[in-house]
Formats: sequence, C-alpha cells, structure tokens
Amino acid sequence: MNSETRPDFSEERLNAFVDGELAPAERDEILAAAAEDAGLGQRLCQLRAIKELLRHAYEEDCLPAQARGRPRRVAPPWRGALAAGVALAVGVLIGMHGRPGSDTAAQSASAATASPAATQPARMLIHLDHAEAEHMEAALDLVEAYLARAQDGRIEVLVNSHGLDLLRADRTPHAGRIADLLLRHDNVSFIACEQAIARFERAGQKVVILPQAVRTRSAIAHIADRLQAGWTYVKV
Amino acid sequence: MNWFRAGQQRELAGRIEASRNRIFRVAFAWCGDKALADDLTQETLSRGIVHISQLRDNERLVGWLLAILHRCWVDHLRSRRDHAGEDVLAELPADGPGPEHHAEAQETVRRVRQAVNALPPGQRQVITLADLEELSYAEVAGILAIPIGTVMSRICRARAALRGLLEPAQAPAEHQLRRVK
Repeated sequence: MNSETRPDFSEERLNAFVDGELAPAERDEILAAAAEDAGLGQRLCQLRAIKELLRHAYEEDCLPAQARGRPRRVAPPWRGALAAGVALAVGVLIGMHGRPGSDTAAQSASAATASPAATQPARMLIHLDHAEAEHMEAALDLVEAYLARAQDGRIEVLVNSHGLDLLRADRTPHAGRIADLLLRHDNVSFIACEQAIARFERAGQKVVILPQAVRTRSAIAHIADRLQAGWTYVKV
Repeated sequence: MNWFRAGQQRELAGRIEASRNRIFRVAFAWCGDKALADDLTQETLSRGIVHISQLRDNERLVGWLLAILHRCWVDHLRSRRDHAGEDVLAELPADGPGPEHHAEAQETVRRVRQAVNALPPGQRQVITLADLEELSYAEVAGILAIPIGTVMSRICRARAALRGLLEPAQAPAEHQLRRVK
C-alpha cells in the first residue's frame, strides 16, 4: 500500500512484527531486511509509535466514575515481547545507518559505528516504560552505539511508568553509566515523566530522580512533539 | 465441596471488581464517552458476577470479561441503531469525533482519542485490545469471536488510518492521512 516498504512484506506481517506475533525466524527476516532498507526501519518505527501513542492516550484520566481521583494501577504487564522491542530498536539503528548483516545488539552497535554518515543529523528518542534489566541495558547500549556514530545528532532517553526506575536515584543500577555518558556527551538527555513521578508519589513512594535528569510534564506529549519534529522514535 | 466453590466464587467476584479500571478503559476506548463507558463497565461486571459459574479457566478472567463487554457493546449499538446481524461492528460507519468534550489536559491525548473514535467500531475494538490490553491476536480473535485473519486486517487498516497522527503538522494535506482500502 505504500511505496517505501518492500513489496515482499505485507502490511499484515509488518504489523504482526510490531505486535510481537511473528516466530523468531520471521522476525529475523524482517530485521535483516530493515538493515538494508532504512525506509522499512522507519516504517516499523512508525507502527510501533502508533501503538505507543494509542496506549498512552488511555493511561491518564481514564478511570471509571467511582475510581476517578484515586491512584490507578500501573500499566498492564509486558506481554512477553521483551525481545521484540529491543530487536526492533536494534533493527532501526542498523537501518538508519545502512549496515546490513548483524542480528545481535553488540554486532549492530559496531555496525552503527562503522557505517557512512547520514545526510542530516539524526535525532532519536528512545522510550522505556518497563523496568526489566534487559530493557534498561538495551536502552543504554543503544545510546552508546548511537553516540559513537552520530556526534552531531541528538538523542533523548525518555522514561515513564516503571521505566522511571532507570532514573530513580534509589533504584537505578546504572547511575554511574548515565553520569559518565552525560559527562562525555552534550547531545544526550535523560528525561523523566512528571506524571509518572506523581503517580508513584500518590501511591506513597518517595521518588528521587537523578540530579542530571531533566523532566517533562507528560511522556506522551513529549513523544508526540518529537514525532512531529521528525525524530526517530524507538521503543525499547 | 460446596463451601469450597462458594469461597472460590467469592474470591472471583473480588477479582471481577478489581478488573473495573481495565474494563472501563477498554469500554471508554471503544465508545469514547465516559458516562456510557461507566454504564457498559457496570453492566459487564454485573453480568460477570451473575454468570461467574460459567468461567472455566480462572486465569482467563479479564479475557472473559472483555468478551462480555463486547456483547454489552454490541447490544448497546443494536439498540441504538436497530441493526441486526453479527457483522454490525464491521459494517457500521465511524461515529466521527467522539462525544468526549471534557477539557483534556493534553492536546495529544485528545487528538489520539479523536482519531480512535473516528475508526469504524470493529477496527477500534481490535486495535484497542491489542494495544491497550496487549492481547495476542489469538486472544483478540477469541474475545470478539472473529477469525484471526480479520483481526490482522483490521489492525492494518486501523494503524494505516491512525498514521495521520504522526505526520508533521505542517505537511501538505494529501500526506496527512493515507488510507488502505
């Protein structure tokens, strides 16, 4: 239906990829294709972004009458698609930098660093809303791979929901790594969602955010702003 | 063993009540109106509690409740439009911008909800179950009693329609929304 996707992948398959419905072999096939075709990578990103926008649009202010005004439960459990989000992010990084042939995070990171420059400074928003250790690692791995490649680009790591743990001084296992990244690079930001902070505080938690992190009023509004400004969105 | 069953059912009734927020959120995403979503949620939970003995697999409580919500919504649409036939949801035209006129804090939230409300109801159901509840295609198919192929094609069409949300605001009109037939 649109010209920038390869004809051999139907829209159904691309959507199924984003929804974590494909078998590993099929997923790898699409990732490999995305590595050669930046348009395909962007298309997958876009589908993923639509999924996220929709989810976040019903997170706030979406309670039955009798519960409105009380703290609501947190997002539903991640449905086991842990690898898919990371794989997609990696695929996009590879796609962005036009380097085929790798299918692991480490390989793609080196591929990203070795490939030719993009025509304009790439800007990437990495979004994390879960606290799984692998996701946190993957987000930071992506930041490092990206920074090693795109010195003139801009990258933001946005956290909300349980992803907030990455930037909570009392919970993050990565305070040192984040501080180090911020010291060495001035084109990276770590951003915490104020609504997520408020939600945890309403639930009785004391939330202390790393002093180097900045805040945004709402994660969804931030994502939408960046998408409209042409940033690449990656959900980890 | 009746005392055991009774205890189990009391526990399930508690879990049904605890699902209220989740059911409401999906109901609101489907109908776009908080008062109606409250009614649908109440009806769903009431039917769930009444028919609790029909629930075979306790682990599937939310899916079971969502299937009841689906039937409640179909009933509502039928009574409103005097429609017949199971495919009522697939064939209905979109409702247009939803009746949700509350002052939303976030313009984006409003835009996304409006775009979701503009989807045909069948697409709206499938996309919200897949994205809000993070259900698998098979689970969505089971809840709505439709084939998986229909789930897939509706998801494609819904996301293609929602793509307009992500286009830069200043883009020329013809790029704003690309639809798939």
